[in-house]
Amino acid sequence: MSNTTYQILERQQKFQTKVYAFACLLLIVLLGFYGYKQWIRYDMAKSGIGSGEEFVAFLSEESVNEETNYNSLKVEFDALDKEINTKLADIFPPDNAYTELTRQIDSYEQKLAKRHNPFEVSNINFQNVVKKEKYSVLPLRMTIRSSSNNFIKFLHLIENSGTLNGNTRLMDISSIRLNFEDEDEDDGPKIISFSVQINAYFQ
Amino acid sequence: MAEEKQTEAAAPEPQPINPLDIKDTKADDSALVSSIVSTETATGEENILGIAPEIDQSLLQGMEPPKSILLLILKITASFLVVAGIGSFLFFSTQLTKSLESITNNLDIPNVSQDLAVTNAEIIKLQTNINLHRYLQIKGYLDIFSYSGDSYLQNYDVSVSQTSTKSEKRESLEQMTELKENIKVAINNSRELYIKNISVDLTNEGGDLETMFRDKLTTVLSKKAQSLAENEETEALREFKTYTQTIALVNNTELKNLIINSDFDAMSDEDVYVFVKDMNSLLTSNLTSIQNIKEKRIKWSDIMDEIDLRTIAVDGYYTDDYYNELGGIRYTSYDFDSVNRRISIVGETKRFDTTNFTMIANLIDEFNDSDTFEGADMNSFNKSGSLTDGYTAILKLSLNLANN
Repeated sequence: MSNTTYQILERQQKFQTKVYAFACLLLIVLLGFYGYKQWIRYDMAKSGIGSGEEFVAFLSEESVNEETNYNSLKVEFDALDKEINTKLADIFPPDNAYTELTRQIDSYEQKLAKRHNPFEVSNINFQNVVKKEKYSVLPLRMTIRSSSNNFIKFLHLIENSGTLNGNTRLMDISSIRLNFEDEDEDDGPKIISFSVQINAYFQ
Repeated sequence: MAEEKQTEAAAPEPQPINPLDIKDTKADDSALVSSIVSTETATGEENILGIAPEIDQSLLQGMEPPKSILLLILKITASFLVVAGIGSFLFFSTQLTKSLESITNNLDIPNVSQDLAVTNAEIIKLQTNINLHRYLQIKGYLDIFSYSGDSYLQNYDVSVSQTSTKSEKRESLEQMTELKENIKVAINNSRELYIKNISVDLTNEGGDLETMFRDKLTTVLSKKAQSLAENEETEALREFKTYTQTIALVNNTELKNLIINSDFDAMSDEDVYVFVKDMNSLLTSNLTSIQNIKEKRIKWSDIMDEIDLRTIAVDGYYTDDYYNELGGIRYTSYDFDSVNRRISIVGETKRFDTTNFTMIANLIDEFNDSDTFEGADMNSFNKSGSLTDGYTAILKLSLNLANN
């Protein structure tokens, strides 16, 4: 009986040895893996902080430089922006500004009209505003009696309207219906009567 | 007694257990030894060494196997590993996670992960500030570009227009040279800013950093614009527009690629013209809206010039006003329709040799040969008159503007 107990204890000891050996091995593997992975993260974070602090110092300097650059240029940019906005108010106004447009047409008529080189705007008819996605359109129809030269000048005016260098309202011709009048007996200019449908644009 | 001995002798010999006890019958043993052995074996059952001694089991009672040194070492090692494991878990938890944040904060233990996050946040903030001022500069340079580009397009159109005078063309070319230089400076400055990286590397930050920095910049610009949205002052409105237009630039990679890949120095006047138009199609501002409207505009003066040129090809005296004397073509009305891109011409032809219809047919062919027109058409031909006074035929032509 006593011999059996002794043998059982002996076997238990051997079993414990095996279990502890296995547990140690398992712990070494797990701890090694966990420790290695975490250490890499830790080391990376540590070195990241180190290099990051240097980088922050560099970026701070760069940020100040870039801001200084912009502020020195801002004066020029703002001046141009104001100039553009001022010109846009004429050529591409924020509202339909039909009264200003009427004055512009009248002014142009006055500039072109000469005794032997007529340009007479007999009618201006503003129509309903059409709203588009990025801009709006004010359609108008004009009836004009003009010399051939002035007619071409008028076409050029519309074709070149809306440039920042000029102050003519942005317009285009939707349709023209023109008639050549019978020439006079004397050597007067070729007279054209025309009705023109124009689109005047605004923001 | 003798009988007993004989009986025993006659009985079969017992089989030996020990192999050494096996008799070798072939061995040359002496008869005496054989006799003694047989006698001793036969006469009793008792062993030579007596009965085997019994083990006293009671002596083993209370005894344990000796302690194993190996087991002891293993137990100590296992304990050490457990402690080390708990220690490393606690260490890395305090350094790399926020799970023990309350403890580390109370004990004022630094957290490497949090320190890194703070450093990264500082880097993001600074880089975003750099990006903000770079993109505001780009916006400024592109305004210069749009301003000069608008004039450049205008002057180029004048320089190639059929109806422009020589002096107008010369003046336009001079201005184009100056404007081209302004455009070049604006584009080169924009390119220098565009090629700088919008993002920087961040430790422990994966994913698409460029998109992240782009989003940060958009957020900053939106906040700045939002702060001005309610302000009605002119300056605030202007600033608001600047920020909103800059937001559009941040995400406009097509525009960025066009600027970076352009070789402005190698561009001819026509290339610059196309480049400015391409840029305008990608930019978002009032100027580009204007440019888009201008793009669709039809130059009716050039169309009329083309009609005159094609007519002269059929009637050599068209512009010389000899219609009544020599005959020829005379137009009485034009009808230009921009929406349908259609032209109707009404007039008459006068001939003193009856070939009015041929002249009209030639005119139709001439219009159809032009790159400007297509589909010139007249279905009904009528004429009246005499050889003395000349024949007059009514001209009613319809033609379309070619798509190019």
